Amino acid sequence: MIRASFSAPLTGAIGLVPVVHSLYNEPFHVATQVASLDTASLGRAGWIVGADPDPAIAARHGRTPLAAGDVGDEIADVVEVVRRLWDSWEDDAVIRDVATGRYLDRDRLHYADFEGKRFSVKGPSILPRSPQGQSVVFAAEGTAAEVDVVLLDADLAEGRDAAETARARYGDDVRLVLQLDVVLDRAGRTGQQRLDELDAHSPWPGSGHARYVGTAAGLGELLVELSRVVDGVRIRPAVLDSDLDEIGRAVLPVLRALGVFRSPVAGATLRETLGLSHPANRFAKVTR
Amino acid sequence: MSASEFSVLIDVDGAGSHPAAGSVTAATATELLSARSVTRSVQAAERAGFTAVVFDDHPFRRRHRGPTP
Repeated sequence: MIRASFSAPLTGAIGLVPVVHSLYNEPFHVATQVASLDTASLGRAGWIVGADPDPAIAARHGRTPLAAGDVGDEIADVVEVVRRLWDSWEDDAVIRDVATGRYLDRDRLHYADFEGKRFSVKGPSILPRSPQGQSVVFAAEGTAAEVDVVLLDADLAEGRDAAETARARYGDDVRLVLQLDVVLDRAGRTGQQRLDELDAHSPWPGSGHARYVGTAAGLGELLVELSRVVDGVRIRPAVLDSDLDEIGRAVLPVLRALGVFRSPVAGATLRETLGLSHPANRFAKVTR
Repeated sequence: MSASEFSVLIDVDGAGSHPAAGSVTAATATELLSARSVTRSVQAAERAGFTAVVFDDHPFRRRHRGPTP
């Protein structure tokens, strides 16, 4: 979150998507931190809903660890309340009316009024609605909540089945993103040689999710194939400097030339880049 | 909703996503956590034209150890 916020004024087009640990953090804080990132980046914020129930994290937050069976319900409540808080100020709530001395139109602020299983939040938020209204919510497949982007963990042979399952569950409007480890050939050494050397230090657990090891051209072909199955990939580069440079130099230009991929343009929001519409405010709909 | 664009996101954590990435990178762990290093990675990703960068800060997982002293 800190690196994402720091990056906001340093960039102008790229989306900024932190994993925000969301089980033991206060949901109100998650809502305001992501909204602040969205404001600072002029609408380029996403939120990967972190749901690791690790008792060590609970201890750090002074919270009681959640049983694995309770994680799903808790995350569903957190996403719901964060979304309500993001809508608790209507887009035009700040009126700055000098004549009457009013900064806010109180009729355009709304309580979140959320009662969950383990917590309740009254609201409203302490921040105006951010540029995207609702920042882009990313979550792992299986999350029972209102999600914009579903992150799929499946190996390449099962990618199509995983995508169909997720599409059936979440509907056509959701974006499906496959998580993909990447190790490319680089500087005269094959991806496999580079991976073997790294694994000799400490192994990279890879079972159950997609991994590509090989040439940049081969990765380009794989992404073209995947573009028929999913809406995107989240690449985990084995070594950032080498693999990011190789993908940027030899893979993305090929995808752009084939018309498979477009890079984000300066000033676009992340929702626009992903083809998601500006969301209506849930409270404005009720009151007007 | 219109047909969605294909998107390519990239994780930008420390020396890389492999737990041993730090062992093949010249930078020290302190340098990798520096503001300069974050700036460099994020701006490289934007120049390359990625859709978004992902920051995966796990509260406890130590992913980017350098060589054991």
